[in-house]
Amino acid sequence: MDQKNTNFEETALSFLPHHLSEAVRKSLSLYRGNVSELRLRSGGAVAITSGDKNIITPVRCTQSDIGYTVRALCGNSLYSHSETIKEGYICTEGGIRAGVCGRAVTENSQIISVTDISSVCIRIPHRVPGAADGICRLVFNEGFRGMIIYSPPGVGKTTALREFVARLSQRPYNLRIAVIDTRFEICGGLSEELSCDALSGYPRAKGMETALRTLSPQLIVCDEIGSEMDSEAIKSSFGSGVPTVASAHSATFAELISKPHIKELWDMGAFTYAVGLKRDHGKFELQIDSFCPDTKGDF
Amino acid sequence: MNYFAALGAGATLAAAISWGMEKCKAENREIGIIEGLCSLAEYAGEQIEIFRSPLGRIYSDFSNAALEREGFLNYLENGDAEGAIDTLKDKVGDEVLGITLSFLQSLGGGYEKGQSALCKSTASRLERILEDKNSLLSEKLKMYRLLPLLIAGSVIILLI
Repeated sequence: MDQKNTNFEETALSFLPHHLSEAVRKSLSLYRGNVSELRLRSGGAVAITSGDKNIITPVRCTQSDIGYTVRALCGNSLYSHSETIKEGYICTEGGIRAGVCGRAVTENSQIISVTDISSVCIRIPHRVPGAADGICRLVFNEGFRGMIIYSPPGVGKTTALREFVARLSQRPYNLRIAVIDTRFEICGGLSEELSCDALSGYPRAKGMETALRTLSPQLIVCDEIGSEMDSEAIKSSFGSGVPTVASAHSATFAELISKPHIKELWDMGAFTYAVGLKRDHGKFELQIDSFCPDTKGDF
Repeated sequence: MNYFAALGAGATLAAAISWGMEKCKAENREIGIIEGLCSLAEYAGEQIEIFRSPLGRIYSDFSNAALEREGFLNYLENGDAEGAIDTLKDKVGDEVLGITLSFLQSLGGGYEKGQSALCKSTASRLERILEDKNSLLSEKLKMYRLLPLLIAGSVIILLI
């Protein structure tokens, strides 16, 4: 059982009302150290995600419990999280990220605020030492220009990226890594353990531009790319000779390449490898596609 | 007999002056507290509108001598609004207590526009009370200085 992971679970529980946290703590004791999500739905049962299992607890959650939890996640300052709530998440000072949804108020097809939050998914960051071993080896292959890691949501792309940064930014590699942590997910709560330059909250394109201009990184890492702006920023980084390691949502390589902005980056060679991530009983498996055909295959 | 009367008259005079001074001090103290609460509402409004600073930071960065003296800010920094209000009981009127409690309980629970409006309306309500208090202050202070002297004077005449 990892002490740091258990601390994150305790931090996550501290956001719940007392009666709920006590009840959930009992259920958590069965999965201690392996819980990746706590899911609260107004009027529904609290659910726990442990590994690839969804466990429904007997604990029920009310709208007022959700209200309490949201306020606690915001540090009693809802207004200071309004921008991220519109994007569907709240990041806490302790490095916990929670997905939220409710009733969106829109104007000209733009969300101007979200009210009546009815679901909260508290994601508990994890260190999984060794999770990025396979990926790290690829970086030192000759001709490495970048890598894109893909998987469906919840498999562990961010966990793998976090371990990747932890390994390569420390001895013996000591790479200068700039992490564009737009949603505070990669470095959240772990900045002391990750020896990197964390551009937290920066929009990806702006973060990459800033990193290139001011931090002279040897490697740029960012999570969940997909937009045209992301693609332009990676092109610019590629053109400057700094490889990018990024992640994207996709179940297969074919699906990944069907996204026009990612295909464009792949075709121009901004990524030497596309690494498909799978998780079997908590262990990562990699499916590697290479821009250079002779290195294609399973790792 | 005259000796005891003089002693009683002296004691009455001292007590009356002391009562008058306490009342003056309490009036000034109440005004200082209300001014502090006004500043808090205005400061919170600015911080929310311009910087979206979290409440914890707003409370820890805010300083006001009158509220610090009462221990109000210590409770606030620990997130205990009711405790903070308790420190002001018997020092300000019920109306001020009610406005402040409702302000502290609502602060942090909404988005910036609503929160900013809340701060502005709280500050303006407190300012109105403050204006009323200030307009009566000089009269009240005069009364608290003269009234005990008059009462003491009457008692002394009766005693002597």
